[in-house]
Amino acid sequence: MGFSARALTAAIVLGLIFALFAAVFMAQFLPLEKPLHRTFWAGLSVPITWAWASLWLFSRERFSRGAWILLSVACGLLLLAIGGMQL
Amino acid sequence: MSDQKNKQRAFFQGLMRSHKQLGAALGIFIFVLCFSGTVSIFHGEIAIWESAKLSNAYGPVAGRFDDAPIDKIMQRAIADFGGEDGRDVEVFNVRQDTPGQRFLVSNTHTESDEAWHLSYWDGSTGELIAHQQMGISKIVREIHTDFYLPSPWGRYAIGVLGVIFMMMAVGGILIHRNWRRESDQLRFDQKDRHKWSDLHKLSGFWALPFHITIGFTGALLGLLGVILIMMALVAYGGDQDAAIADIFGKDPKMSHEQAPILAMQPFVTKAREDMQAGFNPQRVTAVYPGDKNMFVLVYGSYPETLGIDSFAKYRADTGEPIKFVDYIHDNVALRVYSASVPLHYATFGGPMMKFIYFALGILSCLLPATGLYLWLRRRPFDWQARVVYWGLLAVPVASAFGFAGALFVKWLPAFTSLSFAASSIWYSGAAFVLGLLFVAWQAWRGDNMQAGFVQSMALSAMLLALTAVFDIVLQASQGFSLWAPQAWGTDVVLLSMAALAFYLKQRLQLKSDVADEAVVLAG
Repeated sequence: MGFSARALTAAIVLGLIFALFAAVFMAQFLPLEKPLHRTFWAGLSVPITWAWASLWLFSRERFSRGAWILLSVACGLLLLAIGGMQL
Repeated sequence: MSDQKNKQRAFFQGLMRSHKQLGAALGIFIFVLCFSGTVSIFHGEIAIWESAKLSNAYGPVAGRFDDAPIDKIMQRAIADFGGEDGRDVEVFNVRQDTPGQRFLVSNTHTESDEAWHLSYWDGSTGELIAHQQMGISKIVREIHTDFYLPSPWGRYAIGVLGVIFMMMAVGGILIHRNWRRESDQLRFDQKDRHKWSDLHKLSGFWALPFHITIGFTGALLGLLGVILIMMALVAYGGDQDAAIADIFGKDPKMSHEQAPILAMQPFVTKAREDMQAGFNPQRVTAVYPGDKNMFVLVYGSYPETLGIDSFAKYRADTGEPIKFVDYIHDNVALRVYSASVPLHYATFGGPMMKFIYFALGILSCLLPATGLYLWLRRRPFDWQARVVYWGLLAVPVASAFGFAGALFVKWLPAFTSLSFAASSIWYSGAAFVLGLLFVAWQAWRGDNMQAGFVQSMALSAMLLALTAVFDIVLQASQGFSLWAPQAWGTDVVLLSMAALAFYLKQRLQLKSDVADEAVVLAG
């Protein structure tokens, strides 16, 4: 199977969206009293979640273009919605 | 059960494919990052090596930072850089170069030209040793921290590469399923492919914790700023002011009302009292010196802890604290973030730790280098291969050229009336670009990739070794009694790099000789 720059970009972008999505939940719902602590825990989680999610996604044998687009849009919208609620 | 096995096999095949494809797509960027980072471990030392004046300034070690003449140094820096009325200085900071060394290093930011001015001072007397801009040390560091891209995009790109480096290191180990057999296997006497493949696996396996640590901390340093802003907006319910005030404190704005430049020394003592027991100040910054709203930050570390950036911030006129940020005693998450700085830059454990990091850094360089070399030797020397060839050799060869250029810039002022203190970066930079062009010419005109590697390694080894040897000889003309450890340490590093380049050249040449012999025999 040849190299697909699109699959690589999609895996990295989607991995980032997953990681930010998880981090937003951590920043909001971690049972810690100080928002500063939630901020740092959420921030620290991003590189690890991002690396794991991108690697997992890029290792998939089959992942149709439609699924990439659907998942990207869904995660993006969720992220925007959560961010919007906070603002 | 069979389905389970098939799924497992497909997963590992996918991992293998993604590891190879990621490596082929981004390997040269990761290599450049690893190489420049490995050299930049000695960034402070190389900066001193680059100046004949600083290289010859060994002396008694400075005492505690609390007793250092920091206000005398600030007054002198403002007099030198602040313009006629001294009001052009926006930020001034001074720090111990390395605890226990002679130098205090200051950075003065001037408003009119938006520039930082670097100066070295005697830590005991506060006398100026040199106003010295960095040359090759800055070039290599800028490549590592920003890829010379506009701020902050370069830093973000490098943060992303940190994440990808982690992905590749972990993915590589997951696909390396026969590690019990292969973890100590280095087949130098068999096929050429085995040699580089074994080296790739060994450098990945034995330095895995280092690769993950460097990737993770690099990603944090590159990206955490922007990520923290996003997370703070969520955690603080969208209240940006509350988030900034809680994380950094609310800084006074410049008032443009002139006021006497207040002393920083009392704040160093005050910070030691105000922070937790054991706080050890190592750096102090004055913002808007000479303005009514001047404020002071005292940074320091705690003994037996990994972390450096805890700080106390005060208004200079009233002495009123603005913010105390204690990364060590506040929360584990802050402590992990704080540890990422010394863990990435090897600023703990003294010079020995730097040499350990240097050795591990070379293993990090070997990972993408051997991986790409294996990829290159399987394909014709087409345009893609030529681009990868350039990407792999450009920065190491250019650095060797840059060091040679820096040697001229360093020693010419000692024997002539020339001075390069403020322009060394242009001359070292010109030599660096010459190196980039040399490899580009090789990649464009060369027919044989392997012969090109041998030629580049031979040239780099020669340049690095001659630079170190000439530096030692020229130093002998000045005498060795004042030779700073940072300067001779850099010569040791240059000689180590020359030896490594020569070793690689020999291994590569061995293959060429065998191949030539085979051709002759076949003929």
